[in-house]
Formats: sequence, C-alpha cells, structure tokens
Amino acid sequence: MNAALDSFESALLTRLREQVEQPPAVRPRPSRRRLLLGSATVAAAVAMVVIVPGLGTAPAYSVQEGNSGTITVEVRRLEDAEGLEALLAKSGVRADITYVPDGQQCAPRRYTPVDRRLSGMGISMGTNLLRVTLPPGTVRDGERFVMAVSGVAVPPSTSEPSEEGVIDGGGFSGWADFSVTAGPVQPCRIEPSTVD
Amino acid sequence: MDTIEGVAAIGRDPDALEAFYREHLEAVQRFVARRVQTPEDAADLTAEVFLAAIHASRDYRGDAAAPRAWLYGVARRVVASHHRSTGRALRAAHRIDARELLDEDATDRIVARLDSQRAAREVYTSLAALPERQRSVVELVAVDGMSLVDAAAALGISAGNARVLYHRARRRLAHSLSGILPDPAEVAP
Repeated sequence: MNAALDSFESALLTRLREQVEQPPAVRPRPSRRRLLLGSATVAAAVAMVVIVPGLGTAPAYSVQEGNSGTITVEVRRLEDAEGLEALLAKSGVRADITYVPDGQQCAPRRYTPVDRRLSGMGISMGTNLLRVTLPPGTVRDGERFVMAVSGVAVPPSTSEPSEEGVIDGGGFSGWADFSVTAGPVQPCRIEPSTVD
Repeated sequence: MDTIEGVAAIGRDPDALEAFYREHLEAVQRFVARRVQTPEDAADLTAEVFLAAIHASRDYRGDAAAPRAWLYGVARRVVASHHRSTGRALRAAHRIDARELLDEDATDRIVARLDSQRAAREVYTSLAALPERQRSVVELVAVDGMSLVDAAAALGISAGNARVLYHRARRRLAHSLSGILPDPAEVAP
C-alpha cells in the first residue's frame, strides 16, 4: 500500500494534490499559471526562445527549442497561423497551421499521415493554452507538421461529470487534428464540431 | 481508506487523496496497461483515472461498490472514452500533462508493466466487436479478473443482469474466442 513511488508517480501525486488543494472554481486558471512557470524554468536553460508579441498582453504564441532538440509550441490565442508557421520554419520545422473558427473542425482526410509511429509528439490543452511537443526527428526533411485547431472558452461547471468521466472544470474546450505528412495538404473544409 | 468517508473525502482533502492514490495506484496502472500500448498513453490515462475519481468522489456512497470496484468502474469509462476519441479529437479541461512527467526509469517501469499485461491486452482487444453493455461486463471479468458480483457493482447493475450479459457475450464469441473467456464460476468469490 505504501510502496515507494518512482519519480513519475511522485510527480503525478503532487499534481493531483494541487487539483484538490486548488479547485478551478476557487482559483481560476491554475493550469496556465503552472505551465507558464514551467516554461520560464525551461527558458533559462535553453539556447533559443522566440516570442512573437500579439495584440494582448501575452504573446499569441511562442516556439521554444530545448537542449535536447525538442520543440515546444505554446498557443494562447488562435490568431496569426502564418506567423506561427514562419516561426516554426526558423526552428527548421515546415508546418501547415489552420485555426478553425467557432469550435468547428476540418473535414477528415485533408492529407495522408506518414506511415510511422510519431513517438513523443503530443498536444495538450489547458486553460487559455495549447501546447504542442515535437521531439527531435518528428518532422523530417521534405515533411510538414500539420495542425488544425479550434477551441472555445468554457466557463467552470459545477454539473456532474459526463458519462465518460470527463471533468469539466472550465477552461478550453476544443478540437485538434495534428500529424506529419510528406504529401500535399488540402485546404480545410469546415464542418460542424463532432466533439461533445 | 476503505470507509465511505475516506473515498468521499478525496475530492477535498489532499491527505485523503494521497492515501487513496497510494492504495490503488498499482491496480490502476495495471488496469490501464491491459488496455493501451504505449507508456505515454498509460501515463496520461493513469492521471485521467485519478482526476475522474476525484471528481466523481462526491457521489460515492459505498453502498453499491467497494472502493476498488468503484474505481474500476470509473477507470473503464475513462479508458473507453480515450479509445473512442482515437487521440485525434481532444476535449480537455485542467488536464494533467502526465507524459511530460515521465523520465527514462519511470518509462522503463511502465514498459515492463505493459509487457507483463500483454495477454490480457489481447483479450481486451478481441472484445471490440461486442455490444457496449456486454463488453463492459466481459472486460471487468475476463480482462481484470473481477467476480461477476464485483463487476456488476462497478457498473451499477444487478448481479443477475451482469450474469445474463456475460453469457450472451460468451455465446456471441463462441466461434472466435472459444476457451478464452473463463467460466464465471471460476472467478466468482
């Protein structure tokens, strides 16, 4: 019952305790605060941090390249997709970024994903923040990272969890399609959301 | 921690949560390892299961299911939701980015756990064709080794109903899976 926890298990316990100590309804935006703190820690240790100012107080997006070569993209507002593409190109990643309005999504099969496992590539959504992680070698020569995102702000809810046990503590509810392709990418044909 | 009070408190008392986490962590990690292939997914889903349990705990009454069975019921819904989303559509709010917490040693331990659960994972995969209600019972009995009574409690249905669903599933799978599904008498308490 009280076997020693490994590093992952201990870190997860810490995060879970934070969830209970700081319920979202009481302290809004804990995810963002925590993630930004993490970014600042990383920024001090990495070679390159590029931030593009947006219209608001925080930049709309940023691209960071870590010592290990992992590229982390943080998006705070879904604006200036072309600017983010240009910023990624400076880090050596060709990208096709599409922001879809009003929580809608792109019709499937816009492109053919590469036929290999994209180990470690991930995307996460938190309050006011979308974060994409691209480990080194994810996007090879001649390939493109493709991402289409839509999202809407969701106020905190005190209702019961959904049937799937999904927790709705408020924040960012969205849809994302992302992969890597070596072929052409068709324009996004917008269709209504299928996300609950 | 097996009192109603203990489980009901995990949503508001960090110490109660920690005791609950330490008691059930290994079981949850094995539960997840019987259902997914990669250490990253296993890490994410372990976090999701505990988050869902925290949220659902205020409704825990203890009269229907023991804490472990209740938690398995929560875990099953979380993992089923994960598979339906196929990793391409996300609905996330205050998620913990668990895979980012992994280091090499922790990943190795999860991979070893995934390897040890390979046979159960094959059974889990083979159940994909079953209707949802039958599948939910068969999963908990044949993949997780629960008794029919505990599986029924985890799913919030009667034991008699669970037994009927299990036998229907057996008949349905008789041609493709003969011998894989255990007789429920073997797993009853």
